[in-house]
Amino acid sequence: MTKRTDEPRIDAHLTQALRHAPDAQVEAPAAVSLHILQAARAKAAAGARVRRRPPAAWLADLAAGLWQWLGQARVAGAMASVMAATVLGVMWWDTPPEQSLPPRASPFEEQAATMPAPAPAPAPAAAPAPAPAPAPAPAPARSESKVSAPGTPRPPVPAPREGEQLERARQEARRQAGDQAPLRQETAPSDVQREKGEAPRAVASQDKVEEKGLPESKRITETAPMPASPPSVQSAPAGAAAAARSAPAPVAAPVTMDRAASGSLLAGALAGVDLRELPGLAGDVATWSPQGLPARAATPAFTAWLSRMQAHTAGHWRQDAAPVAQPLARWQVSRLTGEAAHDFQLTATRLHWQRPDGSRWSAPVAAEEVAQWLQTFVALR
Amino acid sequence: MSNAPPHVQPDDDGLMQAYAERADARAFELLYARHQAGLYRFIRRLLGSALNAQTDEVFQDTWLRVVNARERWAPQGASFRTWLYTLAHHRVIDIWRRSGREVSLSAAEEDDGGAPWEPASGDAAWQHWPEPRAAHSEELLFWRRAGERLLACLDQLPVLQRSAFLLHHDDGLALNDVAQALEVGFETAKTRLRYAMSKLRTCMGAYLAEGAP
Repeated sequence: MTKRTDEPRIDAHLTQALRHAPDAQVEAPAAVSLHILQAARAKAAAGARVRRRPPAAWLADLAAGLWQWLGQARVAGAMASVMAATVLGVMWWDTPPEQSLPPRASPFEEQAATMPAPAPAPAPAAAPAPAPAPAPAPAPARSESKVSAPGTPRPPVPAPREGEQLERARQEARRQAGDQAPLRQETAPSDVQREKGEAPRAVASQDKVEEKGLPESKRITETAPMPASPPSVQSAPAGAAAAARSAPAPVAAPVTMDRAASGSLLAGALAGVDLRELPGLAGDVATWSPQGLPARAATPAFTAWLSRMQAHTAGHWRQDAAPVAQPLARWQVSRLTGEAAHDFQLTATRLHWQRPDGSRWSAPVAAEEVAQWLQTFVALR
Repeated sequence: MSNAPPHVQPDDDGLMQAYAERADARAFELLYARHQAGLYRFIRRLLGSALNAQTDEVFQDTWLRVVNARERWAPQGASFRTWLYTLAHHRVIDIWRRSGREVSLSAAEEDDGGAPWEPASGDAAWQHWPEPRAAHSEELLFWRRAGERLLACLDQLPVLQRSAFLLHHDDGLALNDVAQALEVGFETAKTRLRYAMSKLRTCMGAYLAEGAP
């Protein structure tokens, strides 16, 4: 501290006398000094033990290096891009796929629109919901507004658990319309599975296992709305679709649905098909066998290939009983559910699919897509 | 020739910080080596001849307080040296009070307004003394006897004036630091110091008058 100007001068005579005083050279006894220093060292040692160990030098170097690396313009830019993409992706993920995709006129929707509408089924009887739902849940409501054509009454988009209600509504509509056609055979196994609760779980787990091994972009492709569900125009009459449309909105919790599930359910509701049976063929493939070759386990590459087909043909399947002439490739796929194999034939313009129930379907395929599929098929064989 | 800067010893505050934050025992040893003699002498002289048997106890207690209070050490406050002497001063006052001696000063001597009593103006008290810087061998005996006399004069000072004088003249603290160490205002410390110096000059002048070189 600096001295102030009004500070009294040091008296040199008194200071000199102090320096020559008998006790001027006196110091603390050695024993006292030793005791003090030992106490100080003991406290320091105890403090050092309690004190958290400093990070190892190599760890500090690593952190410093990482920090410097992150500080580079290129890396920082890349990180910022990834973060921005992640944020946008999360925002987009939370919206129904119909809002994020361009509107497309589905053949099922066209068919449903051109069909004669039957007498409206008594909704409360068809859907014995525990409580009347005055308004649909927010998420399904958004889907409806996007898909609906102007001026056309649109079915409420069911939540994932409402498939049974749709099925019941369909049956009720058939009964009232006097339609004695047997129920679609495709729905029976799925109901059984649903009751048992076994196969869907296996399928779900298979989906997750396979998704983990694939990049994010592929995952999105593979979980895109399922193809295939051949529309049950004949087996499920228009009454069912209408019943599905007229079914009251179930008391649906505001659940954010998976994109694939919500897309499949939406298409299924339009086509009158219970799409819970169709989690995506690629998702539960057990084995596959090229024509004339023994069966083999479905590899991730094969699943990805099949997913690509499904994505390409989604919404374009039509019943096609015509015999397939000179297929370029043919293979069978067996699912984890243990049902009979699905038979696929690829021609220059179409992909043909014969389901285990004997129904035959086909979807148009672009020429360049056929070439790529064939190339992959040869490689997978 | 090397351009390396000369080795700079860390200051007291840096050493105390090293001891407090990094448990650096070596830093404490350096601090102790720097201040142990001065502190021991300060305590001994402040206790006076009547109580200097307790110098070791006060000295040890003061350093152990430094050790135990190291985590409360704040470098932005008083300097380590000031803090050290404050702790010692507190302990000495405790000893004084336990011994039943008067510690507080009279209101007149604590009054900052009036000038302290002086036996003679300026340096008149030392006009017959040798020059303090010319301590030739033949004068050493004089100064040693003057030192003995000064200790006796110190015994006659109130402890608060004694501490102000010792901190200022023996330990070389600036008056601001003296005030901080004694936890009083600058003017109070100044008054105490002036009273102490005045009384000591009078006392020492009497010594010289009694018989000297």
